Amino acid sequence: MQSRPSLHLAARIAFLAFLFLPRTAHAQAAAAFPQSWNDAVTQLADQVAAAVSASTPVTLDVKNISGLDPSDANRIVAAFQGELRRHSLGLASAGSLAGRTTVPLRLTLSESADAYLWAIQIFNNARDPISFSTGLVSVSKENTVANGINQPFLSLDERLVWKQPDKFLDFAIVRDATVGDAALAILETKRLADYKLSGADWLLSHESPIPQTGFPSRDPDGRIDLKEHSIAVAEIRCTGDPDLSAKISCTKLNPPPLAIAHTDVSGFAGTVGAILPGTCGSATPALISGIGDWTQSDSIQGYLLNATTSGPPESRSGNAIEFDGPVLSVQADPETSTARAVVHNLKTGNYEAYIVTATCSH
Amino acid sequence: MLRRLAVISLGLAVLFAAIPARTSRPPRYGGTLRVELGAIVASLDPATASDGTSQASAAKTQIDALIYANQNLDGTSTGTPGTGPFALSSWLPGKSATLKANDKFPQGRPFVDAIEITLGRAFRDRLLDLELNKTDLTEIPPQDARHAAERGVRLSQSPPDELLALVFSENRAISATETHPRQALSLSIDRAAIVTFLLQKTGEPTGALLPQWSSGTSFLFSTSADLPRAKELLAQIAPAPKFVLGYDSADPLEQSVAERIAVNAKEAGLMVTAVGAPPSPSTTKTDSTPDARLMRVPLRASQPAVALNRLLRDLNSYAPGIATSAALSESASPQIIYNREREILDAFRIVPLVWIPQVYGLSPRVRNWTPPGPGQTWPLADVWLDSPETNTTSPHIKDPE
Repeated sequence: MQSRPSLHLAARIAFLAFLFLPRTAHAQAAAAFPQSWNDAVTQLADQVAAAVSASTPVTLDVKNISGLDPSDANRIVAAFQGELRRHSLGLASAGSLAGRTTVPLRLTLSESADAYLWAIQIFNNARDPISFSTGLVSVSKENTVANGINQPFLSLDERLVWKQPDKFLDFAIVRDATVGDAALAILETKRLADYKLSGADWLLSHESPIPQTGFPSRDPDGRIDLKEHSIAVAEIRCTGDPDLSAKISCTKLNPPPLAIAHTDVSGFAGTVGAILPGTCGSATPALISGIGDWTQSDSIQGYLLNATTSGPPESRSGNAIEFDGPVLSVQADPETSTARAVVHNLKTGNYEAYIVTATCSH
Repeated sequence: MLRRLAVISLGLAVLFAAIPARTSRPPRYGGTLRVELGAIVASLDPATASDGTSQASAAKTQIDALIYANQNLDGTSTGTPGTGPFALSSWLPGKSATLKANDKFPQGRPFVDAIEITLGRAFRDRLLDLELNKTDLTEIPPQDARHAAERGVRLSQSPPDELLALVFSENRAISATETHPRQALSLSIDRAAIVTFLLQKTGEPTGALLPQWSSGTSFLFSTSADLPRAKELLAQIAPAPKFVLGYDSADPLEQSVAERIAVNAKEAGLMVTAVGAPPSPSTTKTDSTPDARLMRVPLRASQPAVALNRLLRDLNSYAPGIATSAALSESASPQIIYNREREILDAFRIVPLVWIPQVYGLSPRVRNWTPPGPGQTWPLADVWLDSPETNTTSPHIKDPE
């Protein structure tokens, strides 16, 4: 089942609440472990205890081949190790007990068509490495959903809209007011370029210079706001007609117009990203870049920000989109579950404009 | 560089009216869906069993399901006309069928007006017709899926739901030592190479009777070839045994797999002779009956206990007594299902090789197609056809919406 994150004022309020919730409250909630999981790891550890003498150390190898989130897998493994210790089984790391007999264990977190399936393989016969006994427990996926563990996830898609060798700060695709043709606005530090679609190509139709003030920035910031018919570059704010395709008038503002739109969010320092409108499950979706610098490839990863008191405060969700260079900006569209991203492709040298669509999947 | 998280304020708005978001368009009624099949179906009478290959039997089941929706408890059609989403409007046995949408179908009229089904069409012709937009839907042999994709054909692939296995017909209790030749044969088979080279990576090597996605325990059954162990087992037997391995002579995949197995077995010191055999395996033992046979067995359910019961029932038709225990309860635990699988496989009368998906080639205008799951039939009542002018579908997709 797939659904778009729906616009939801309550979620926005909840997100603001999340920003101010004490981190310890999240940490306590995240430590909660579903009873069904607890029962399952206890059952597996009991099977090991029945097959292995307490005087024989065991080694544990873990594989997660299920859809379980790595953080959940780690919690299951930690709980299982705790249960082994409760049975007085000595857990050793492979190689630390050279010369001593150990019983290798392999815990595999798997899943069937309708349940999570956790398997413990006990390699009791040192002479026959392919001989093992197996214990299996299943955990209903529905139980974990009910426990709030199995969150919906974000699927990301990217679409390349534009590329050029010169740096640009933001872009927007607009409708032409008169004929309805698509137009593309590209915001550079010194000009706003307006392109019209001609056949399959974008052709430059108009450009507006942007006044320069002070020293040029090495990390310029700029944004197009079509709803307000305006653009902003550093201290300059310019307004024009609805699609910004004709003359624009610019003024210098103090404080700079963009400053109010920036907020540092704890936990994502050193990244660029945007909160998307609406919710995915009970969480707020966000798109966040990697933490590399401008010389490295980068990615955009979906996150689900949990505004409630249960569950971890933020969790990586779905697969990241990889880019051949740094993500320079990510701006959310407040009306849809899309964002626009500007990427500097280090392989080609071009600056690229992408529309990133986040789909909430269950 | 200082990189900041830009949180968009509530007032910031950028319109994306010109960007077509990936939302699903409303379905379109009308048009004729063109389907081409390789199988030759002689009769559509639901009371008549298919007398051809398993391919023909599968095709007949699919077409019958479009005409006769009501099913008996065992999954067979009741044969009541007018109950399916489509009605038969013309029928040339073995050649073609035309179906018209049933306006009174209780679950709603199908989106397409008609389906034209052409039978007995060779794969190369079907592929060419897809490329030329002369057909909308056809089956692609899994070993040809990669080739089709490279030619730009739009593909749709199911989860692996057909087991290719080697089945020994012998039905007598044998001692553990007597299973060694079979075990050695199993250990000699390079399943990964079968998938990589013969199936062009379309499939999963398996040592289990159920696919991983269904049971979740397939990983517990080894798929690795182990020639030293195979040779060790064979060293305990003298003289080295010989096997005749049968395969469906009409199935090029079975033939190539059988020949590959013969090569693998030779490396372990086993003599295996691959011989083509009639499509329908006979249970009557004669001098020419192969010792073992390659079989393609469809998964008929997703739920592992049900799937295993039905798989064993199908295998029993060729190798009676392959599973003597009572059928598993639907609520059997994973441990019980795994133990049953292990018990059957330890006798080495069945040697699982590969789980294979069903692959379909689609024309760009086909919308709303989902590859059917185990035991399901083609969802052609849900399919609709895009008009050519709004067709924007990428030619390379898997599992379309």
